[in-house]
Amino acid sequence: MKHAFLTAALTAMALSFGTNAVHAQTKEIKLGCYAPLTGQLAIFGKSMQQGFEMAIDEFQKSPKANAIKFTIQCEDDQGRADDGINIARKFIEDKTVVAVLGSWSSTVTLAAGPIYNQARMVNITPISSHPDVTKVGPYVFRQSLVQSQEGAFNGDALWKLGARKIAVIGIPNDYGIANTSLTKKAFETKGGKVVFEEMVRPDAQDFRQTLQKAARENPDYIYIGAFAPQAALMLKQLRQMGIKTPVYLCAALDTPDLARLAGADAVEGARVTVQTNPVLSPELADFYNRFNARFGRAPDPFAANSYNTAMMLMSIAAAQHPNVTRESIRKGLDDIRSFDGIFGKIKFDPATREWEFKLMQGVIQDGSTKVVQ
Amino acid sequence: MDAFVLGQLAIGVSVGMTYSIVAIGLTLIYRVLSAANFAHGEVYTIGAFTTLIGATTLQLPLWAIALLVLAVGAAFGWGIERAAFRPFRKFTDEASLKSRAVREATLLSSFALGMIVREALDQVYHGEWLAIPQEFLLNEPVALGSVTVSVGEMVIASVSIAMLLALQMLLYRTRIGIAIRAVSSNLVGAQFSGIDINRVIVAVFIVGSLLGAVAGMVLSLAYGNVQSFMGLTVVIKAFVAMVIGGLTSLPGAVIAGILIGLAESSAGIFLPSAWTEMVAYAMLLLTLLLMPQGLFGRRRS
Repeated sequence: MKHAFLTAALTAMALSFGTNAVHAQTKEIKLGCYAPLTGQLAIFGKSMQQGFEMAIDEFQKSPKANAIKFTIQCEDDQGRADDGINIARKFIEDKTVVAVLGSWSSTVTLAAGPIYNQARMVNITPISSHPDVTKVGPYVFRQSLVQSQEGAFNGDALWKLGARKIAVIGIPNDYGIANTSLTKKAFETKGGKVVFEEMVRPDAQDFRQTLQKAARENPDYIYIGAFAPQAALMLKQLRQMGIKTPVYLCAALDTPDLARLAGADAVEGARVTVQTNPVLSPELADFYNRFNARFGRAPDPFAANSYNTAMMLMSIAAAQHPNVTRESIRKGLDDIRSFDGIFGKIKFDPATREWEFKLMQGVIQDGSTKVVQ
Repeated sequence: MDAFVLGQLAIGVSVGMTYSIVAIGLTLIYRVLSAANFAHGEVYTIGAFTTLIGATTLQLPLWAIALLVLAVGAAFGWGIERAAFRPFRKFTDEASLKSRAVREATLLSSFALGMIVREALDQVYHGEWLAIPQEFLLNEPVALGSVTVSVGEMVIASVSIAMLLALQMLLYRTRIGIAIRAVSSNLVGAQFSGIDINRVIVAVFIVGSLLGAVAGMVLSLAYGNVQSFMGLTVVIKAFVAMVIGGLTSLPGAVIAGILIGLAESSAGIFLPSAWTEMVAYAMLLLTLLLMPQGLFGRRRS
């Protein structure tokens, strides 16, 4: 009896080796991913992960996949630098991983980036927008809107709206500080004046004191550089206090989460910088529909960016088949000059190693963004 | 007074009330056991999540949500006592009941229980911020002279005062209240006079947690957002209010909560508001150094 079982098991094993051999030409390429999947930032990390997974499934079905089977392994960094570093060491040890996507937070990417750079493995972030990310080294890339580009756009947009005095409210992390200070700089270069500026605690739930102080300076616009949970509370509280000062929102706030959390009334009429909205292109609109059908919710900018970056990484790898290595991916990313994805054709500047995105100004009406101009 | 300053102070009072409303349940439990219930923040979070589920998944009217929150809060309070406090009262002799080790153990066990609940909620909801449906929100503005307040703030204030009065009635006018005060002033003595201390302690946890859950409901209706980590920030301030108020005094905790809110908003007139976070802890330090029994505390043996 024992022998019969053993024979059966061995036969099964032999058969499974046999079937593997048939697919020998199918090469498997594994990508790593690190993002905050638990903890306070999990809402953003989940968007990234969904964007990556959708990209992999769709790319796999397209003819471009070139007989390569792509897989992704997502690790949770909880938004913490030390976890990001540990994950980096793990991915570097795993020789089947050819490149790593992530993270969400600039703080984590800036900590893990040097580890990848030293090990000569590509780390590309679709989100982290701190100016220093691409300065870490030749193996650290990003494909996301950079703060300097958004800041210049915001300053210009505010000026063109007729604003001469603005109040600036942000959150004190790498994102909020870079976003508000570069917007402020661009607006001041135009000749505008920042009459009030304050960083608020991201975990607070009452921002009325700050908002009332901002309104007292009679600004033409209040600029908010924060994420949806804080901005939603601010917009609700502005309405609650009867403050009628118009509001301009940073690009990260062009997300369905804002109207969901604040309610359509509170966001009505707010101006916002638009980068990933479905109104921008048929490709984006189509992406929105597919994402919605799959996950039952509209994608935010983080999901859209993650999808686009993963698509680019896979098309580089697929084109190099069968000679895909960690080094070849780095070269592919260095040599690329443009990528045609859901944002239309975006260009890579090899001098700054940054991508240039198309930005538009939007106004929120009936809970959704309409592009103006 | 300048309308701006008045407005800023009004915000301070209303933010202070949010500390007070959470501090009431916390202080009640401290008063009886001389031990802090570090799971109280999660009681508050559970109250907010119950409100959300009642309003969205279950589609209940407001009165039914309130009943559900009371029931869930009471059940959770019972659970906290059973899981994190009762197991440390194995021995009923005077030395064990008064032992510092037991108090420290329950502090850690309630902290652990709170963490488990928070992490579990985080796993289920992925840290997502969830919105209470607009029609339930209490944020219509109401003009009071030159100051605009919201319906929610008035509800927070009225519920805090109602809680305080109801608790004082319970403590000073009912049999269980007498038992609670007896247990609170002398655990061993109460036991010798025939009081079932376990029953009294369970009652205290049920009442304290029910109030914590109601605080979660009222604040989630006023601010509109619910998240698994929401209890953390609020409960720390409630602890500070409890200590400044004198640890065991319910009116003391309420007044201290309002004072903290007022101090924060007064500082905020001159400082960036992120800096005002330090004010509460500076007040805590000063209280501990200058008035160790707090504003309204009784001297303890």
